Amino acid sequence: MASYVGEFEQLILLAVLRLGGGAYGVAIRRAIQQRTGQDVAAGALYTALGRLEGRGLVSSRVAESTPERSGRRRKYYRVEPAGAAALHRSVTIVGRMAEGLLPELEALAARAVGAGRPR
Amino acid sequence: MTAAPPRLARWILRATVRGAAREFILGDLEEEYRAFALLQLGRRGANRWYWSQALRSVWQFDPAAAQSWDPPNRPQPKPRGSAMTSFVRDVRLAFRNLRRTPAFATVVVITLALGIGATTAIFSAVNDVILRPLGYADPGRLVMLWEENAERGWDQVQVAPANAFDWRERVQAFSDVAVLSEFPRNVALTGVGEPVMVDLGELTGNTFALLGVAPMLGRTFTMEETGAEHDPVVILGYDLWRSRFGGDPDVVGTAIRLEGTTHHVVGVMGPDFRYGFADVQAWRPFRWTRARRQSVWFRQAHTYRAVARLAPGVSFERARSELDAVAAQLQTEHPQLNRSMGAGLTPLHEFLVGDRRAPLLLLLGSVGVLLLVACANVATLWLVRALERRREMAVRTALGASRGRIVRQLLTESLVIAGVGGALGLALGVWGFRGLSALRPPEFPDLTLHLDWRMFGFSTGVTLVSALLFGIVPALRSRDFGLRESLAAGSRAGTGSRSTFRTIEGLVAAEIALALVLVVGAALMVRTMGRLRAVGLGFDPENVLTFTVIVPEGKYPEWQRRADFALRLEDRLEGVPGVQGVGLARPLPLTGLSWSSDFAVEGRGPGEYGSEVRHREASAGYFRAVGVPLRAGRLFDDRDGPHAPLAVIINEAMAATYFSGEDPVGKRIAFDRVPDETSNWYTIIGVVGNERQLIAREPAPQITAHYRQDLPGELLYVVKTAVPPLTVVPAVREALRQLDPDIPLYEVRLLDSVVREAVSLERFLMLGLGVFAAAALSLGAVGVYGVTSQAARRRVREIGIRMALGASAGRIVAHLVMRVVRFSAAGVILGLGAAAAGTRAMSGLVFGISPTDPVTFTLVPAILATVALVAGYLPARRATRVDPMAVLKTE
Repeated sequence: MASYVGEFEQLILLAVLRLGGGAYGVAIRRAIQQRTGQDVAAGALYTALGRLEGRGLVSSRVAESTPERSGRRRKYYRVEPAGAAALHRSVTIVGRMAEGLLPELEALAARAVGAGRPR
Repeated sequence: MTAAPPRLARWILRATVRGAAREFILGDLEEEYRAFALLQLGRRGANRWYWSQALRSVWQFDPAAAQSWDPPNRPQPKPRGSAMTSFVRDVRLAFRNLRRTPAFATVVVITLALGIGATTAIFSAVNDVILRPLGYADPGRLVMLWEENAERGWDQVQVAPANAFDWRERVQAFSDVAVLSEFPRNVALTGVGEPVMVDLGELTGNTFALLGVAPMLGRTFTMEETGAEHDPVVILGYDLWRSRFGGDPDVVGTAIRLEGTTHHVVGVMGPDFRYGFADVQAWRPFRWTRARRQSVWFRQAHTYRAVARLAPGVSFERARSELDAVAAQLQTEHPQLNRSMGAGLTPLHEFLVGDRRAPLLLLLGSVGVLLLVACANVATLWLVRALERRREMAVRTALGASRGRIVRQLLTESLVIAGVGGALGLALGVWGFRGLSALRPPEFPDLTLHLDWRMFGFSTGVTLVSALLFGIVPALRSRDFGLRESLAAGSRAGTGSRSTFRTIEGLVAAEIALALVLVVGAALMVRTMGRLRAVGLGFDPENVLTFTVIVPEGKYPEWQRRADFALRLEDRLEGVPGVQGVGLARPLPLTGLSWSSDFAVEGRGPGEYGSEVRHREASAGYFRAVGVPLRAGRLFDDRDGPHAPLAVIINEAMAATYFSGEDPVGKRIAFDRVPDETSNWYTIIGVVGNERQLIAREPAPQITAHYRQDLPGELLYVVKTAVPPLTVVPAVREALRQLDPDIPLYEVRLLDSVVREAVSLERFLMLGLGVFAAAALSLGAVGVYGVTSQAARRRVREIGIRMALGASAGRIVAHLVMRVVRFSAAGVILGLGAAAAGTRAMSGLVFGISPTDPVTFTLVPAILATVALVAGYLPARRATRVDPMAVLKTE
């Protein structure tokens, strides 16, 4: 059974996928922020990427250093086939469960405006 | 690269993030900082952004996960969690645990924040007044010089300028001596907008150089500029420069008019310059004439301050002995004027802090006691909570957590919560400081807040110490939460072991003891205030308005014209509707301001002189306006005009001291120890009742000269009204305007407020101690309540059984309350001992009672005991309301 990835990891994998060859820390953070409005802390991002890499879902390569990073190197990520499979599976599961419910969901959610973020 | 992210934030990141990820996190944030944040948010915004990113990254970074993705082909030392990261993990866990019990966390945070906030507020005053350096060059070498005279009862009094100049010349240990006036000269500044009164400090030209301070603009004075033979020059203070000259940098070199005379502005002092000797807005060199400097007055006017700088390499002791030697020389050279006149020196900072040290340290000590009470209170809460978590701890021990690990976790939790309380406390402290400076007595003219390293260091220190104080006992008691005992306690977890319970009772007893100390302190101040209020003032301050008018010498050069002005204004004021009486008097009673001299009575032997008689100038209307009774003779009238024989009125204290058994009226006196042909003779025309010159002192002998014969520079009017005094102010202003529209009315206030001000330090201490005592008492009561509720809860089964067996509710209440009596009594006895020792620090601050006032020491323990009993009785009574059957069923 292919593994499942959580919501946060889905966001990251989708961002890496979307960025193609240009997926490194800053780009990933900004991609997520622009699309979802979530400001992911760098510490959290690398913690999650580390976990994903440990599970073989992404791979990385260390690239050139640039002056605006005071000589520190960038690390670029790529989604591995196993990662793609897990992401596909996770997204589809949610999609299947949500199928046909979106209009109702929107109506219900509109009533909950003002309620706190679900934990 | 132009801009780099904040260094400290980067350092924190580097220190906390371990492993290979550090390079990428730092690099990413720096890149984003430069490429986006700076452009979009600006420098400040970007720095804030970086800080929040950095802190969140520290928070949300997990090195354990990072470990797994370190490329296996690049061997790295296994990143073991450093002390820092494991601390971060502990902190995170602590937050999680505290969030689980929000009510507990809130109560603890609020208690600590109030305790730390109050402490911080008081400390900020201590910081400002006592700790902050003067801002002068090498301030440790500056000394205040003073004179003393055993014969006159003088101790550390102001110096006569002639003596100070002799010290300047003869004492080799001083590299320089400066003379300055302690009382500002109030002069009119004209020609820049509306005329305004300015407080001017006068000094010798070398003062700024001696203090080692540089002006912000222009230059300071030179010694040669001292004296009336030089053109007048002035240095503006920063505030005056901003408010009256619009901060114009070209003001240096221009001329302004002070007292109607042209003064050249030579410099402006910066905003950080603190003068320290008087509250003034501008400075100028003394305008002494040559004749004045050579007159007897120059060695007689003990009204100036002298500051010296010790010469390089000279010890304080050597300076003292040299000064002593020179003072002795001056005694022989001026046997009359300098008779038994000694001199001495005190480090300048110590002298300037002076009397303000004791009240501030008293408040700091009291608030420290309050903080201890708060910590004891939090410790009891912490212990109760620890009891409730026994099973958690036992399970963690069983799963292999070492004792040290658990102690560390508990201490981290207390540190975290103290940190939150401390941060909140600092904010509260800043806020409390505002309140403090709004209530400050005149002894503290300008309290200012300095959020400097001392403040942050202090509040951090206080926070850490509190965390240790309330955290250490529960943490060490965690061995109670051993596996066997706790798991065996089973369903009764949360009721607590006997010894932990004892500890809680001990802490509550300590709270009672500490609260008692504070309540005793507050009660002593309340009693002091009562005694001060009951003092017979000797005059009636009700419905009396006072204000000052200065008739400028520039416009009215002859004193006769100024005296006429005073008389005409007095007449006009009499005609204002609602006014019952008008008079002049300077100084006002209770202000302690006056000068004193020796005097001789005509016809008595040369040795029979009196000394230290206080002087005042007044009109007859003054005595009538404030209700000072005439005891003998008469008040001033038309017979005592400017050309008539000089007349004085003496008070009863003087009559009793120097004229016992004879009638002083008609006697003539001169204000010299040995009168000669140059002496002025004054005839005593009347005796009036005593007025207090200082509220806490018995009235001293005083003479009042007639203002028409001895015109003061400032006309201080008192107006007795039949209506609320402030309602006549517009009419008073109008009366003055009609006489001369250029003369302002100032220092308008009620005589009542002069009386209030005389006890303002005592009121300030009473309020401060009262607030702290009330807070400590409430915390103590909460502690007693809590511990008794806990005791009742612990024994709910026993109580249920007893009641089922027929014990009356009264017996059970009595049983529970007996415990309260026992530990409260211990607390009260302990507190009495501590209070008796502690209130000795108040001996200089209480009035009319001793610091171990028996009334206070009887009443306060009774109050404390009552509060404790009530706080214990309430939960005890509630415990008896249990339904015995319900209790037994749950068992």
